Amino acid sequence: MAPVLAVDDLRTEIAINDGAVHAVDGVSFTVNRGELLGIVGESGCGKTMTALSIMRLLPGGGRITGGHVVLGDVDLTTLSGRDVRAVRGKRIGMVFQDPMTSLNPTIQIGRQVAEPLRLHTNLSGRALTDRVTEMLNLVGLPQPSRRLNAYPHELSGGMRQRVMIARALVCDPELLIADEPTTALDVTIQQQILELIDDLRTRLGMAVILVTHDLGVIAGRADRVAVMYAGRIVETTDTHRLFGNPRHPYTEALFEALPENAAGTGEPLYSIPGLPPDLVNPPVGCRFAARCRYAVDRCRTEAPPLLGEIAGHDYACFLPVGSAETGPSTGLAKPRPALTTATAGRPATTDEPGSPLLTVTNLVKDFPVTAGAVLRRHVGAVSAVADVSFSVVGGETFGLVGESGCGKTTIGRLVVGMERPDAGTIRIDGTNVATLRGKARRTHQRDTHLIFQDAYASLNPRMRVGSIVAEPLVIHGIGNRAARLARVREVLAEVGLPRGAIQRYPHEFSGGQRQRIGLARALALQPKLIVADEPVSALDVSIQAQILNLMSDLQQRHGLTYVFISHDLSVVRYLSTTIGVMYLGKLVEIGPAGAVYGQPHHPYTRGLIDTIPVADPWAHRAGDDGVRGELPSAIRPPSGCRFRTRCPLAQDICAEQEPPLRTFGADGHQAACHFPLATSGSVDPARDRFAPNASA
Amino acid sequence: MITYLVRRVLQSVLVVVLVSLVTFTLLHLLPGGPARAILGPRATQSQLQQFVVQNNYDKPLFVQFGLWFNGLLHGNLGYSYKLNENVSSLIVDRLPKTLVLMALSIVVALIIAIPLGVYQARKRNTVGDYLLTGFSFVFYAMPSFLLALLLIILFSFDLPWFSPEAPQSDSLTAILADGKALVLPVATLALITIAAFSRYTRSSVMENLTQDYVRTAAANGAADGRIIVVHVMRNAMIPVVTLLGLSLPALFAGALIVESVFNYPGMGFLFWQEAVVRDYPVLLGVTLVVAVATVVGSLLADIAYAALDPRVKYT
Amino acid sequence: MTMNPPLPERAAQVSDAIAASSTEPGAPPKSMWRLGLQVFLANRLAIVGLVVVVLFLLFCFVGPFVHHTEQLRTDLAQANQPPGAAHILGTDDVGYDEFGRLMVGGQSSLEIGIAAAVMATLVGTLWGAIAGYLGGFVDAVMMRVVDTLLAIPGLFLLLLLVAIFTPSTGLLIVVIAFGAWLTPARLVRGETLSLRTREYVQAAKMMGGGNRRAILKHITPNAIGTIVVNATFQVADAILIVAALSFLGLGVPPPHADWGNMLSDGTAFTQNGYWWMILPPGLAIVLVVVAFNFLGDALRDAFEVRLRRR
Repeated sequence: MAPVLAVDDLRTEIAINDGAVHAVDGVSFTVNRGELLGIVGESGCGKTMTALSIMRLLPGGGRITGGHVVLGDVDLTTLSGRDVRAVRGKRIGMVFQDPMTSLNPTIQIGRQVAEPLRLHTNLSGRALTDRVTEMLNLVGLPQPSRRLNAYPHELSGGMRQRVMIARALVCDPELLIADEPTTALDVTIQQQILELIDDLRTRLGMAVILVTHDLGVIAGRADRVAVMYAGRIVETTDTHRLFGNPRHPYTEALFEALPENAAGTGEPLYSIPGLPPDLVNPPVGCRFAARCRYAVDRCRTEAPPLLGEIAGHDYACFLPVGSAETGPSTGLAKPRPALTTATAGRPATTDEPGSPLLTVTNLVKDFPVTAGAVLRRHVGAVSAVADVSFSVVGGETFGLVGESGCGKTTIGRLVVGMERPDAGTIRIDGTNVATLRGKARRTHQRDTHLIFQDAYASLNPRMRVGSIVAEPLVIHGIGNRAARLARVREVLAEVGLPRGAIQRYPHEFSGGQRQRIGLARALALQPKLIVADEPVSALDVSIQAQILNLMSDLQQRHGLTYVFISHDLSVVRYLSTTIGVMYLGKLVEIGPAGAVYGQPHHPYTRGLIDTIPVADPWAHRAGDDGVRGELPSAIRPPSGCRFRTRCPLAQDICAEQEPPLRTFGADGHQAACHFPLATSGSVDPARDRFAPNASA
Repeated sequence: MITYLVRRVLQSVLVVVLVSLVTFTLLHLLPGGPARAILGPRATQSQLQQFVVQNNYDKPLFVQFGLWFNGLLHGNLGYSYKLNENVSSLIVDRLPKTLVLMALSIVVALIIAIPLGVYQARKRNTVGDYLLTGFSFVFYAMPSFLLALLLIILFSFDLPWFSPEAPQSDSLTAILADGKALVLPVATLALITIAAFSRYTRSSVMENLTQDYVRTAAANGAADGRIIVVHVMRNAMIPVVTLLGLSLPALFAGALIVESVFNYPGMGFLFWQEAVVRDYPVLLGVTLVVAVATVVGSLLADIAYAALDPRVKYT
Repeated sequence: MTMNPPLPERAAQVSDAIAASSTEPGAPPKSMWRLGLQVFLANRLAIVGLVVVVLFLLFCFVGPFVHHTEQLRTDLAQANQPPGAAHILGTDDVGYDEFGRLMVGGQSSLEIGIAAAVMATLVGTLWGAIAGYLGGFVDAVMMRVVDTLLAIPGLFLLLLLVAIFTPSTGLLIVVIAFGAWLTPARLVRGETLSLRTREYVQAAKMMGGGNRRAILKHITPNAIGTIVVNATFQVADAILIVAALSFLGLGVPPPHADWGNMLSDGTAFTQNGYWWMILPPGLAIVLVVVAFNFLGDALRDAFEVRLRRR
């Protein structure tokens, strides 16, 4: 069978002022009918440029300098502009990352979905509308005929992405290219969209190229995978083989850098040192050589060809890792550590349980919503945090997880004093900081610090790193200039930044380095508690591992207490001793990390765990078990249990009565549910995707 | 939408009241007091006295303002002793002429500026773009009266195509009928407006061309022309509508100068003539009317913006 | 207040090259100002603008010492002379040497323009910063004042003011600044409002920093670019306003000279073909205004350096 698409030795350059970025440098692959090819790699590896090159949609300054892109029997690289346009939207559909910006904000979605039909078919009038409605129905947009005139901003993120998919597929293309289609979406929505793409692939029998940075997304969906690094494919094979027996050291390192691989062990993650090479003047030889732990001289002088011992598994390496190919792979190359309720998350730094450093009791925070022409009346409130209580033992890490809008960030801001609670207490070392004012409050702010998700935005672009890190010292009038400089040098060294950094500005650093600057600033005052709000979400896997390792090092060295906020369950699980799961302002489950993951009692926690894409193709896929539907509004949250609208187990009582937190077991594991999941017995091994694989 | 409109209208009303307060304050800052300033140096003491009583200038200031504002609401803008006419009837006669001049110029300017801006955005950083950019810089920096003079020298003295003077008729229809004489005034005002609007359109279209939704349209197979017309134009024109509202004060100022250079019998020309002879009632009255026109214009621009952009929240 | 419709953001056209080169690992650290200066100097239009402004300043303020001309007493015998050996740019209708008058007139145009722009910027910045930072009721009141004055087209307000108060150079500066401070006030308020919510300002507060620190260390340094850029455009606008007032016969009365009244005098002779009375002052205005606009554009790019790398 001839492939739908064959890319052969594709080369793409982007002209910049002093040269050209060799964004795609000799990439070849094929995709067959009904097949899903995953292209995976970190930011800047050329995966998106490869996708755009196929469509010939390169940004300004970009051009294809060599190779072929053959769709059926047509070489797209040789077509005229008009002929390429006849292919786009008709034979190849494309879905982009951010559905908000990728849809035209001023055109109704019906007209946007109809656009490819108008361009490529003779459909008009009724037939056109019918086809658009049919397509919107197919992608799962509720009441499509009534939504034709809706504008994109009137839909939720997930619905917008469904519209994007409808628009890409409305002409029945042979190939769908999805470029990070779920990166901008919440994890439960991500699951639904991936499922939709998978489902449509089977139903419509089209080929799909799924471009992503997330190994978990690839593992669950792709038939074959191509791993890209620095503009080249370094390894390509079928998904099971790749995960079971990676041969390229880069692939191996990527897997090892995943936080789920070291969860509960307390071991540091493997992190790839350094940064990817500059693609203006790419290195001769293997591009990964500079960061590779096995590299020899030959790697630096000679580029390894993309070959393999057996057909269907190619890798570009002279010194492949893993084992020689024999039969098909049956499990992960390095099985995940066992996780039972007995080994609870990371070991605490103190031996005895210790007393709580932070105790939050009945915390409430509403944000008013106003309306009215002249006098702005309060018409309601967003219930961001509703009666939340928890405590964190000194020296441990409390992980707070939940979808965006669940109130986890607000809790972080309340704890460090950036917002004032409407009710409840926040005790740090026994003092209720929520009621402190003026000087006393400021003094207490020395003990806590917040690390932001967007490190760059949290650093004043006009201040040198030295002044940024010294700012907390200056604010609290600590030491003289020389002493402060000494302290700045000390903390910069601790977070692994060179001394020269003092004189530089934030824009001169990479994302990971900027987060290090944020950590250095946090450490300057030797705080007791650090709240980290999604500190690694914007970072690539290998850099993320560096920062996570650094954070746990610092914790061990200084006995720091962390409140670690993230939507990413694997990251939270890796770092946390205790975990709290939030849903729409409520804490629905809390307990030792191992217990919460191993034996979740709340259906939301269970659904969330089932929903996260895990980098293991053998793992159980959630299917219908994942959390369905979308997050309701926090202005009028559902009565009773706030999760009931999406809960598979919901009964009448759930709407009438709010479930209190109930204790399960002796280790402080609590969940707020009228119908908690099984409390005892072994976890269904097929469902516990964190347990060691049976066949491994 | 209703809430939004109500709030916007109330805001505008407030600004109008405040503008009238400013005018009222200026009235009392007139050299020698309002009576002397309005009646002139030759008025006798008894005339002044009578004027003061007649116009309630002997009452407390807030009462004066109340009476004066009430007068405004009834169209009483004062009396010009220099022209022996009610200010309001002067304005009723002159304002439409100015508005016609401005409207013609804006229409001409938009018809030319928007395609130019789109062309520049599409051909950015080419010789054509640079040339047009150069032109817009020069026209933007050129005082309108200088441009008017140069146009007169070129197109009515050197090349006797158009009249150096605008239509002098009293009736609006006669003015509009004399199209040839309108060419140079309209061209002056339009050229300067084009400079700003083509630059703005250029940057707005360029910004929109980098948006993700443009890439989506291209991925659907839309050609460049369709992308511009169907996708980019509406998004790019939304800020231009705002700019139009913001430009009204500048357009009134431009109209004043153009009318003065071409002797066009509009409100700006009236204002200038009476400014030279210090006919304060006319000056204050026209200022007030122009300010109200500006406020109304901005209000209309905002409503148009809200109508054009579906994302505007109406609450 | 502007004479012409507000000119939009001009798209940044400056090369990345310089900003980029300094981020290479080996490069020595550079200060923000040095970096900005490099971007500024890399912009050819900026250099042109700077050179034109400097040349005009020299021409107007040093020129009269080199090229002596009679600018106080009229000499009707020498009136309306075309350019020649005795008078490089001819003479006007009362016998003043046009070339010399261009220098003297330029002095007052530039003085008034720059002084008014500085004054407007200072007042506007203060007003906008206070309104933006305090917010709430104070902000509402302060901004309604700005809205009200903005509703009155600037030229009308100015003509009204100069009709009430007889203009002198000093008064003209005050009057023009009175009409011009509104733009920076709005701009700075908007900037303050947006900077207040930036994470680095919030971070400083989170660490216990006060308002003073937020304003001095975080908001001001990041708003300064906007303020300086706007001030540059203000100079250009003020020069156009001075010219317009003088052209309309309501500027500083004769024998005072500026480019606007020179043009106004020349207008009477358009039909006689006395081009030397119109083109030189007209060209001078256009050149200076274009130059200041170039400077403003380049400064904007230079200040945006910090935003170029993410």
